[in-house]
Amino acid sequence: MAKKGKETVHTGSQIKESLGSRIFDGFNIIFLAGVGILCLVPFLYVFAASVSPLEDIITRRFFIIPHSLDFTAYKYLLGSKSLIRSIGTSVFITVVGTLLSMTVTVMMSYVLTKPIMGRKVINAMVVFTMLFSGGMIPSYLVVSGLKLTNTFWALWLPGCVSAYNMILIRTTIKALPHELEEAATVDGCNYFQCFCKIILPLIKPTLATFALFYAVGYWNDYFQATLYISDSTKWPIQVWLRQIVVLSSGLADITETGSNIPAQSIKFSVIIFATVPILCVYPFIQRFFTKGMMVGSVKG
Amino acid sequence: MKKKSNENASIMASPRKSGIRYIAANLRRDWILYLMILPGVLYFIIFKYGPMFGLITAFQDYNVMKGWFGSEFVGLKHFTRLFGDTSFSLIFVNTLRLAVANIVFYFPFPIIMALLINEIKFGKFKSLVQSVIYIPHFVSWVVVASICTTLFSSESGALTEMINSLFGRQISVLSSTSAFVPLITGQVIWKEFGWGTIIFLSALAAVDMQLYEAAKIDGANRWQQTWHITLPALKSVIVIQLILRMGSFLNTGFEQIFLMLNSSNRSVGEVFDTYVYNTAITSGRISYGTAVGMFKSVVSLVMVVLVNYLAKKAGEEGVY
Repeated sequence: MAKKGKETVHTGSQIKESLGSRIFDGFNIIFLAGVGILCLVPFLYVFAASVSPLEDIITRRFFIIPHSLDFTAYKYLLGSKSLIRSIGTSVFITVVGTLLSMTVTVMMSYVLTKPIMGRKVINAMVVFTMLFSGGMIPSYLVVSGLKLTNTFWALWLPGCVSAYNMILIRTTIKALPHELEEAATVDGCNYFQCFCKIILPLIKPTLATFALFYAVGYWNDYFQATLYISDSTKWPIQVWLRQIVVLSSGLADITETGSNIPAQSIKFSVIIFATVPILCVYPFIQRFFTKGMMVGSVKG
Repeated sequence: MKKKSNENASIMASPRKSGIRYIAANLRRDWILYLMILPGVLYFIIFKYGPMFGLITAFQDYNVMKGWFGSEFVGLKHFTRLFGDTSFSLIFVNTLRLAVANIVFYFPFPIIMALLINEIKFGKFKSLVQSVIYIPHFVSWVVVASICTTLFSSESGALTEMINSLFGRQISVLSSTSAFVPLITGQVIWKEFGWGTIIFLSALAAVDMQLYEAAKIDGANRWQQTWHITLPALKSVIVIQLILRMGSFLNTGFEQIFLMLNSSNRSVGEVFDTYVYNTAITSGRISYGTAVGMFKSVVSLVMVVLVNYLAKKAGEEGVY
């Protein structure tokens, strides 16, 4: 980035931009702004509709600025036990799952930078899983064979370590200067202490990035939950949302209190509930992305 | 570390007379490391290699009560049935159609966008565009499917009337067979193109600025600079991405398609993954479903190896 900035200043003083080049810049900026807006419009529409009264949704069709505000759907949902429970479930699954995945993945990455016995075998074993997999049904049979169905372990364990993430983290650790760890070893640190006190603090941006990736995976997961969790009290928010919006069978459950909240309005606010939490984390971690992603190339 | 490597050297130096003693010494010295890697290794063995072993289901008449070790082996029965199945060619064509649409319409998109973003000169605007186009990646498929329902459902969709007047006839985006492939591909483009630019943008950030300086002095315009410097710099990344894409050629985003399928578009929307799910989980034909899944996995593996070989032959780096 800094490089680029310097470069433009430099050329500015040297060669004058041609007219065609400036026209291109203008179009480019307008085009990219348009693309950016297209990325956001669906969210803006859903949000605007979620805070609008039903008449507006029906008469105005597509809009992103609400005329009048109406929060009944939110009020209703915040009082509904099953929504609160499913959000709680999702938060629990995401937090525990991310911690578990990160712990196992980072420890494995660290050890694979050391010259231990069998390292090559383990590396090959990991890479092969990126090329070939047993597939859905055998995985299902393993999970149900271990009696994990209807427990959250069925959501945490089968996708606990991503080979891709593990390799990228390993590359990051490998790129650290060896001297730091050597110094710590001389001071009497064992491998685990080195790992906790030297390695982890040094790779914080990477840790933040991959923790977000795992967290997004757990929060957004729908299929694993439908496959393994049949008990509706354990459903995460995504499954719940699916029930309401597409199958609309969940409506019987939430409208049982005899309220007159139309399904239309509720749909929009549930989408907001399923989206906003993960988007809240995003700005805090976003600055680490390129840093954390760039260090490891695509290759292992 | 120095001390350790000396130790290591002395162990290495002593001829491996007794392998067991060597292993024992190694384990005693590095036990912490082995303990730390144990959970990861166990994970891969149980949840990755376990299912691979479980592929024997495809050669058995799997019985839930008897499991893998008690079920009867039937050889290639399920595969013969699969290739004779009329729905097999249908699924194959459906999968292929979606995969080709993905490669043709989605794959070049992030590359073009990365090139355009790279041309922006205001740093602030550049990072704003990047932050915004990454956002859809963080949304679940359920949310994407739900938003699509609110926008396109034939009774109450916000955009339904607009689309109908645009095409001059009634089009039900969510259920018509002709709209399925554009719908799926469009969703993928909306959700993933921004995220896809990251890998290309980071490759572009690594290009040596002096190349551009030199080109400018030689009188190259911006298009020539893009063509002769930027694109060649992206070439190896594009090839690697293409190889990886080929490996998952038949993986047509299971969750997404599963969510968008309904009884009226099933004839064009049923792909390998959904067929596996429907046969094995919904109708309980476990062995047959496993055979279908295994066929897909093997084809994917062959594709990766083949494309990787071709890439290497063409002088590019492969993925392995």
